[in-house]
Amino acid sequence: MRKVLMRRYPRDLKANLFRYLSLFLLITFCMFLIISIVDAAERVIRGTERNQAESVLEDGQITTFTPFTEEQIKEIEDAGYIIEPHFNYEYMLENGAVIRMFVNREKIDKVALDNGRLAEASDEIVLEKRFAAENNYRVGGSIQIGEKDYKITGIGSSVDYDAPYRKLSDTIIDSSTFGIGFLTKEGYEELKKTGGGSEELTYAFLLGDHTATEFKEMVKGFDFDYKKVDDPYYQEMLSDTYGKKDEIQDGINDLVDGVKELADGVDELKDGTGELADGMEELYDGSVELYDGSVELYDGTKELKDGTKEFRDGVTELTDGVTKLEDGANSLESGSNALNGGLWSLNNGTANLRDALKELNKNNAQIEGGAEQIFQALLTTTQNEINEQLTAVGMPPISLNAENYSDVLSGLAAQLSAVGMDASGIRDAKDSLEGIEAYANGVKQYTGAVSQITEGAGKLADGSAQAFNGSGSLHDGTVAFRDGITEFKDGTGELTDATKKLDDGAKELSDGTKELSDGSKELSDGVKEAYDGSVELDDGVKELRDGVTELKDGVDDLKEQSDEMLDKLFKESPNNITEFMLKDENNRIGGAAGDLEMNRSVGLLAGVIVMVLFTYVLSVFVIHQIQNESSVIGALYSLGVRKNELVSHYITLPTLVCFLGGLCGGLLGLCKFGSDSQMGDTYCYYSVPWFGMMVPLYLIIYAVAMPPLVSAFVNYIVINKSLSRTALSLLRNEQKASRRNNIKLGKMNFINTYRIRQLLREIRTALTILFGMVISLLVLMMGLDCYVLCESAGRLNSEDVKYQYMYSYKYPTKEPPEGGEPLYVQSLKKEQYGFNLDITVMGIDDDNPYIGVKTVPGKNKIIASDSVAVRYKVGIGDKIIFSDTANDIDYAFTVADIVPYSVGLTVFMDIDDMRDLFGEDDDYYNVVMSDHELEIEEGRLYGVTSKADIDKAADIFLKLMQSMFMMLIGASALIFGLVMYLMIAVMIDRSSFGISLLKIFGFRKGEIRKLYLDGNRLMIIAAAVIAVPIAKWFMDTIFPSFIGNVACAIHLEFPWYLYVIIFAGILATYEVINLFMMAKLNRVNQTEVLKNRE
Amino acid sequence: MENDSKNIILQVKNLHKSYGSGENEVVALNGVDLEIYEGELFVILGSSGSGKSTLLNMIGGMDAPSSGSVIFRGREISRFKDRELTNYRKNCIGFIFQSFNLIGELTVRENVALVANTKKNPHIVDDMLDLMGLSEKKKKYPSQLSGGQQQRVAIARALAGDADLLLCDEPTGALDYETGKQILKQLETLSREHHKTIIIVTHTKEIAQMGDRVITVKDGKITNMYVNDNPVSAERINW
Repeated sequence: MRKVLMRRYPRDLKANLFRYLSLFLLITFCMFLIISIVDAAERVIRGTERNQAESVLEDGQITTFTPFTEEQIKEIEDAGYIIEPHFNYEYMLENGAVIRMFVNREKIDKVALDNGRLAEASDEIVLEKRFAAENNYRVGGSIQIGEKDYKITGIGSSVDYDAPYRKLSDTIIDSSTFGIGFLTKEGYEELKKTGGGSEELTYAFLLGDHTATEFKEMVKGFDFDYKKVDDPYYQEMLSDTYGKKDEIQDGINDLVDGVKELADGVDELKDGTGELADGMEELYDGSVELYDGSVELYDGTKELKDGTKEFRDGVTELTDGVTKLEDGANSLESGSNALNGGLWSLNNGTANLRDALKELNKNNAQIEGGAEQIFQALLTTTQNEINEQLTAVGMPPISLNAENYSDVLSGLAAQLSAVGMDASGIRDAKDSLEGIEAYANGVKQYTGAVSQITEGAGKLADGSAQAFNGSGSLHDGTVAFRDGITEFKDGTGELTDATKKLDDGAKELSDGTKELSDGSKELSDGVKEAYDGSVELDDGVKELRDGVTELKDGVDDLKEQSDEMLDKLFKESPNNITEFMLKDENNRIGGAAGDLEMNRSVGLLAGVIVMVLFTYVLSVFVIHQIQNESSVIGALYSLGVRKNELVSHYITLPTLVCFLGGLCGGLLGLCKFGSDSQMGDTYCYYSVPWFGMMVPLYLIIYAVAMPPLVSAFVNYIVINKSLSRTALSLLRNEQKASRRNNIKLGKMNFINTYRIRQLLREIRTALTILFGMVISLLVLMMGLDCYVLCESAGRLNSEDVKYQYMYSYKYPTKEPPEGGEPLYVQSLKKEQYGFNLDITVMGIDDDNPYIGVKTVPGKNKIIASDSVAVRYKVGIGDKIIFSDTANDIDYAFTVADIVPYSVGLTVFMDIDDMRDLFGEDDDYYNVVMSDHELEIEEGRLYGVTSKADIDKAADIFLKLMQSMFMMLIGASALIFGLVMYLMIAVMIDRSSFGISLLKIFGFRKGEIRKLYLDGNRLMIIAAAVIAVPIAKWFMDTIFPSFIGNVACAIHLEFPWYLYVIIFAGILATYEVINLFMMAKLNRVNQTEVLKNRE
Repeated sequence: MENDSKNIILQVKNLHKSYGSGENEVVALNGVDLEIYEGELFVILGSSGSGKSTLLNMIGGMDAPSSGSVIFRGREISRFKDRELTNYRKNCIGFIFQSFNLIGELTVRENVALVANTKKNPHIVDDMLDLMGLSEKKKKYPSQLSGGQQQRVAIARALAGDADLLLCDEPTGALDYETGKQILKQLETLSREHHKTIIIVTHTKEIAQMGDRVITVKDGKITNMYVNDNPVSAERINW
């Protein structure tokens, strides 16, 4: 079946020729670009490797103060090394360009000639090719150096100047102003005599089986008479260095003395610690006793505290009693006063009474006599009367007296009553008598009483007088008592205060004693620990003494050895090496290959991404075809044709197109025209020989196999689902009900509704356009990022470089030159993406007028430039490690701040902290900046950088990259335009029935265009709004990895107008394609309706 | 026709097919039972939406029943997996549709060869084209043929797989009367002379007269089945 279906391919191809042809050409073009770029990279990388091998690339180079002696050279060669002098000096030409002169090389870093031959006579010269090209020197021509014309016999390159930087710290190659030349030995010596710069005594070497360290140590061990060095600045440096010898020796002597004193001191310390341990033991015993005593004291004070409390209560009660007593005394005084008054009145009264009673007493006898008489009279009378009566009745008379009258009368009365006679008269008489008798007795008593009263009154008067006198005394006593009480009260008040104080004191005493007790406990514990410690101290000091004894012995040895070493070091020659650099540290070597490493990997990856896009575009065509042939496919399924057979059938044609595109693109890319065109940039910048054609096997496989494999994979993924439908479904050409078809669009006019529906129907195609837009924008962004990077690097470098001249010192003077601002600059390394880039650590004063950066104190605090921050993704507070690869030391820094500064990869430190960190003197500097040219002896300097050089370098870089920008922008536009054209064309094809129907219904062209094309404009705008930021973000994310080997700031921000240009470009491309689409739309005729229906 | 003496090639037992569910459920087949014998021309008659095409699709293994079974030569195809169903369609069944479904970019011969079982019979493509009277047209493209010729190509293609059972879904539906009649004659020839078992689905009663047996399907059920002792020749059918 496959064979039968294969016959369909040519017919299918013919039917869709434009579609397949355009994609084929696009694939061919893209594969051509990719393969040619990768092949060019491969040619340069492998060519460089081959060239390095053929030219015998050095393992490193060593620069010395004085040339090696013949014996030293022989010793080196005998040890198995290969060494060749590559002495050189610079000569400035009349046009201001500088040429570095070398002697023809024979063993190492041999010149690869592009044209001509090596110099054979003293007036012949070979020029480095880039320098020759920039200055229009040709073989057979001449060049004037000094006063002499040299015939140019050859033009070529040298592997140790693959990237012909004048200085190793340069970031840009400017071959118009710097190049190298090779002379004969005689020519070199002759020219040297006529002037030129100081000669660099550099040797290139091959290590053989040895290591670089071994070689370096060997050279260090060579005799070196520094006095033969005629460099005055070097001599100046040596004198400074030798001045250190005495300082070192003095220091060591001081150390020996100090250690001796230390040993003595430690002996004394040992004795002291022994005593201390004994003392501590006693102290501990004492502290234990102290603790016991303090505990008892605490108990006592506790009791005292209770007692004082009780006492205080008593005093309080006493105070209350005294107060009451005082009140009583006051009352007593008042009472005694009253008493005294009363007694005085009484005294007067009693005197009067006594006198009155005396008067009264005078009549008492008369009153008594009168009363007796009255009684006697009455008694007699009564007797008489009664006798009279008795007699009358014959009764005997009675005799009455004062003693018997009562009985007689009572008896009589009773007799009378007994005989029935009336006795009342008797009883009355008796009563009267008794009354009178009582009266008489009363008078007697009265008089007796008056007498007694009188007597009493006399006594009373006497008594009252006495009482009055007594009360006077009493009053005086009570006053005195009250006064006493008052004083007593005052005394009790004081007593209360005193008692309170006593109580408080007792309480405090108790608390204090408690603390004393606790403290004494702690003291005891502490003393115990101290005691233990003192014992350990004693042991430790014993060990210390042993150690110090050893130290003393060691320092004595040290002195001996250091004396020997210093004697040796300063007696013999100083180190002859001024610079030792291995090939990996030399950025002039392999620069071109390193630059293209990224092209290779990125190119291969980009090829796959672009092929995914193209094959997806192809798959859209296939899907369209499958939909058209749905019923046929259903019929074939119903006849037992398998899905896989049809899948492979539908995949085959796109895969074939991709294969052919890949093959043609690959062939074109791999041919001379292809990769040569891509090597232009390299040859215009680096100094490398012309590398011959190279066809790496993997690239052939990549070109031939990758496109069809990607196509097969993508198409399989895309169409598998469409072909997985059932035979019935395909037969009926059922369109899967999609949710997007059911979207309610609300009330819109017909045209808008139709446009949206059309867009939803063609969403897959629209997404492909978006995908294509993203891919082409990625290519565009790569080009624009390159442009923006170069442009911003140049502009910002110019802005950030505030100095006019920067002098890098080899031998700095003690004081910086007048008008110059000293800095300390150290170069460290930081690895990223496999490239070890130079980080410039710049030590500055805060008032440096050329670097507007405020440093932060601290040996590990740096202010990072934004170039470093962006490149290494560090923020404030982050740690970053830089390496001193030469000495194998890592330095960890904390980023204290980030400042805008785009020159190289620079961080800033406080100059004093930096000197501390790197062990330099307090006044050390090695760079001077100034705003005008300074008069500094050239011999002191490594080099001078001017702002003008920097500005020029930026222009060179921008110019150099221009062709690449244009190529990328062109490729981007082509990809975008073609993908968009093909996809919109598919949309129209798929809608041909509808378009045809609308035409039949009488819709005009403009209306149909509105329905089918104008909606795409909005889609393109929306896609651009989505795709531009995505592509920009993605490219910005990966772009730093493309320039991993370039130590520069990465500023990829686009100015606003660039975005406007991008959007305008997208829309312009769309509008151009829209014109083509209008023509296609017009070609759809009404018969489509008939064609699509059997 | 003595059915008892014939072998059963296909059995359909209590076949149900419904689409959708709940209120939206549409019952296409509702308990269909039938047997097809070797070599007979069997007609399924029914109006649009009666379920006749669904029944044909079930028999052809193009659709799966909701319940019931389809047994072809003793093997229950309703339990077949995809691969077995494909093999069944490839080796046992030939489909003819109302639309011819030919590949426009392939010639007549290529369209037939596409599904031909050349392993079994290397000459089958030409044989089938001869049989269909298309030898002269074999290098033509479908667009260069009339509808009847295209349908004959479709029949040749259906036969090229050496099918035991030919399923024809409204084979004259897209053809004019005369052309349709020719197609029916071809089918009749295949049945009578080449003893192919053929099932024709049609909504035309007159066409049903040419069948050995005819069933009428309505609302997914067989409402009538009769044995046509005197099938009418295609030549004599008018509709």
